[in-house]
Amino acid sequence: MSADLTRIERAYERGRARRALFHALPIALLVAMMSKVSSHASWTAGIGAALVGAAVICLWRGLALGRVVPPAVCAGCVPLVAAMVTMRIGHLCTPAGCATLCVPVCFAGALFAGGWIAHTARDAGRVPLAVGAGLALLTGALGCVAVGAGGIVGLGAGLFLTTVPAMVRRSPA
Amino acid sequence: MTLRREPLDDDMRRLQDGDRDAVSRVFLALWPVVSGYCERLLDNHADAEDAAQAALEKVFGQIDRYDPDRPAIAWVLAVAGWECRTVRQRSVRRRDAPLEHAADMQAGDASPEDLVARAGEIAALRQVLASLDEGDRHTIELAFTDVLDEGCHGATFRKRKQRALERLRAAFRRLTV
Repeated sequence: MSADLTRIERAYERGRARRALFHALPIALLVAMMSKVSSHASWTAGIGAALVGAAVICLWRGLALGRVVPPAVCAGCVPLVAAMVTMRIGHLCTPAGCATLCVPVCFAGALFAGGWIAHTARDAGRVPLAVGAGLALLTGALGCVAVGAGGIVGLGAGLFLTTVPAMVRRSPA
Repeated sequence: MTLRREPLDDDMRRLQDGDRDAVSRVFLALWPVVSGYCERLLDNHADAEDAAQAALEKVFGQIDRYDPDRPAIAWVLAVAGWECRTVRQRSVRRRDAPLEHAADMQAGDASPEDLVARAGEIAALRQVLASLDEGDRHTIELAFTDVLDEGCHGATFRKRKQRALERLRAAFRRLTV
């Protein structure tokens, strides 16, 4: 047999890389849009770059890591959109007083996102679930970063509370 | 060679999913089938191998185009068929052919294009013959005129002829690369 398996493997990896870049395009568009509207454009761009890079790597690797990208990014859009909408509303005022909703909304959105990831990736192991939570965190942070550090902490706390118990119950892979 | 369809289809789906362990399994399953198919379509062993290699690189590079609901072998052989067609068209444009078929070429009532192509082939053959040593040239000349040299026995001459033709083919391939 005089076939060159190395060239075939390289062709396979190049094909996977091309496909990963193509499928990460919507995420890149989302990042570009959020960078334009965000009041913290440089932070949003930096977080977005990390999100796109992580998504491309996961999609290129494939298997469970590749499969977790779409539900994780979609889940992360929940706190992202919730934060954007809440910031437009501003304060919630009651007879007792006024309060900002941004941080609680980021936290609640993250609880929903974490639960969604844990449910859709129920056949995945700990590592893909953790990666999915990370991707959801980065996606949600595109919106919650405008809230400030509190938004990011609320986002992280919500994802932690929902995904860590799910991870503990699963096998490592 | 019999190819079991279901394991191949399963491995192709795993390959599509990103399972790198499936690369060598799919390659080992497909190479004999694809290279054999290309050998039947093309006259030249070297061209057949090149076409088979290019076909498998395309299959692996575009694995996301494989439809998991259909048999993988049909798609793979379709890609191989197109690669063989490309190789054949490239060969026609270059106006070259394996030397084994040189005796089949006849001038007859040839068109001007055929005459030009034939002149090019003869020029290439002369150039290649000039690159061989005198012993090989003499052997090839005798082989194509069916005259045995004095002092040469049949078996010895056959061996010399075989080696001379191998060197001629190798020189011709270098010329066309």
